Amino acid sequence: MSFTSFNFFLFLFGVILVYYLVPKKLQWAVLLIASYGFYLSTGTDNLAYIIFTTLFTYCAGRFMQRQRNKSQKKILDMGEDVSREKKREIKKITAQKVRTIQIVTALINLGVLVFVKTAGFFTANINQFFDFFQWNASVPVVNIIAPLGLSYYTFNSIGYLIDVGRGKIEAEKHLGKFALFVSFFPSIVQGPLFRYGDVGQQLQQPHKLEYNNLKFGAQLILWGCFKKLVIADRVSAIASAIFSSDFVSGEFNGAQVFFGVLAYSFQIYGDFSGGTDITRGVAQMLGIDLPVNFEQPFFATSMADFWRRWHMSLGAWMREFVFFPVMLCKPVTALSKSFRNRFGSHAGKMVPSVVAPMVVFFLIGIWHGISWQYIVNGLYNAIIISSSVALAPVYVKLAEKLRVNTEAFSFRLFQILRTFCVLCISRIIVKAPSLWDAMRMIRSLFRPWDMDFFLGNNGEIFSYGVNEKQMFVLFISILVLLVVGILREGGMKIRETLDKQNLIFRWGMVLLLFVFVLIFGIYGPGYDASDFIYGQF
Amino acid sequence: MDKILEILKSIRDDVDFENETLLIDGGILDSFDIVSIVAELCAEYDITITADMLEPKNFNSAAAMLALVESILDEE
Repeated sequence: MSFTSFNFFLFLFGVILVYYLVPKKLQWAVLLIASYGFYLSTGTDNLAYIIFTTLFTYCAGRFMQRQRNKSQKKILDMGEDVSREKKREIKKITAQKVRTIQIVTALINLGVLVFVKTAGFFTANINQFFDFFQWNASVPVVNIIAPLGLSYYTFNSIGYLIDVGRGKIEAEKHLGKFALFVSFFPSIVQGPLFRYGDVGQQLQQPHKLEYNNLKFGAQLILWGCFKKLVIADRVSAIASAIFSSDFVSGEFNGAQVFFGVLAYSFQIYGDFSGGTDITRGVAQMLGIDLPVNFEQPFFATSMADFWRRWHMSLGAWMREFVFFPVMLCKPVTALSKSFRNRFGSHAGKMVPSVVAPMVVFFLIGIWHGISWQYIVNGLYNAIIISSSVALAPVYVKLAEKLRVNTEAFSFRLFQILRTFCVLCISRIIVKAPSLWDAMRMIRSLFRPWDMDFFLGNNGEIFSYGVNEKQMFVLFISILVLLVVGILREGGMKIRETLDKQNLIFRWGMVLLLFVFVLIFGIYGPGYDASDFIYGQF
Repeated sequence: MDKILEILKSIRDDVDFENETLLIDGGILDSFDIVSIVAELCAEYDITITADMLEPKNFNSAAAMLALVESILDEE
């Protein structure tokens, strides 16, 4: 049941109706039944994974909580007579126990994810290794189709266990309510990731029917459908054609590759951010506020800035549970201190700024899928970000020497275009049929371009599944997207601003978008809307 | 307070830690500076600063950092 299908909207209508009709204390139960109903509609085979993660994480959380409570009770029972050192020792022992449980449970949760995602990669690589040395041996290739939402609910569960371990939240006592936190249906397809202390609590609270939530939620869903159905699904034909094995096996030009990567950039943004808008809109209609996942990523002025604007919930998760812990771990801080004492403060900063991004982006690479392309792309991002920290003083000196006004709009525009170009390389690495093809495609970008291709002189630009008329629709749609992006970048809250306008204008704009999506959305008889790209992660 | 100021100066001697109150929100310190500061504070006071304490309000000024250290010492 795709988020953009008629069946889904029918399902959503039913859920909202029942959700607001039942007594408020039962609303969570309606959401749990709806979530499992939605999950079952995607196939019954996947159910075992989500049930295992739910039960295992629930029990581990309760166990950790018991350890913490026991320790607190022990200290309280001792009264005031016991020394501060003794209390500190008890806390330290408990903290160590909890940390051990945290590590073991995180590894088990992660183990399921890694096994499902890596089994095929490793068995295939082992066989290639045997072939390379011409050994007469092979292992059976194991290919497991990752269950829907596995990465999302695994990461949410690990975050929950870390928060319980840190004492930031109390472990949930009610298994049903915890099961809802793991399986909440709008976010099961492609996130966003969220924390138990925030969304987990909201899911349990009573929510009364509010017109604004329904209205703003529906508007966000419509905007998400526009991005997904009008832009992403239309432009996907170009990306699929140019990144196909057939295309790259022949002769090609940098202009064609750039056109392909431009199309893919809009496809992945429209698909992922559109899907997230639908998710957040659905949640808002239920009175639940999910975290924002995108903030105009194409206006990023550096790769570090891009990762603060793209898939923000994964970035926040990585920052809190991987980036900071890695930077704060003893070997890294000791090495950093030693470098600072010997070579100065900048060198000291270099140690964590190299190590932490390497670990984070290696993990982000694996999170997207185990293949050499994702691993190389992860390392590529890490190298770019680490080198920008390392070279920061050089850039400052260079700007001073060349008398560049770094506050001017033109400099910001240069930064945005530079980041986009760096990003294009990253997109080619993951989208090309193979790493070797990716290298050939990237190389072609640095050779003379056939400008006739872009000018449309030979008509070739319209031969990749998007004809002249379709291209015009695409152009208008991307222009709308760009204008909205600029307004948002300037701090405007689009829906709130629209809400303050006169009735005719307000409804006129919404109706216009609705009709536009209805006419130009890629669907209809015999057409199955493309699956969300991030659904596979 | 003097001890904290000494630590901060050893990490970034170009910042006016005595008077600055927007070290994080003003973009004066970045996450890599914070990690260096945290490592020094942990070593100096024998405390544990966890990732969840890395919030801007705890590092916007030398006084805020001192308050964080004192609250951890009290807690422990």
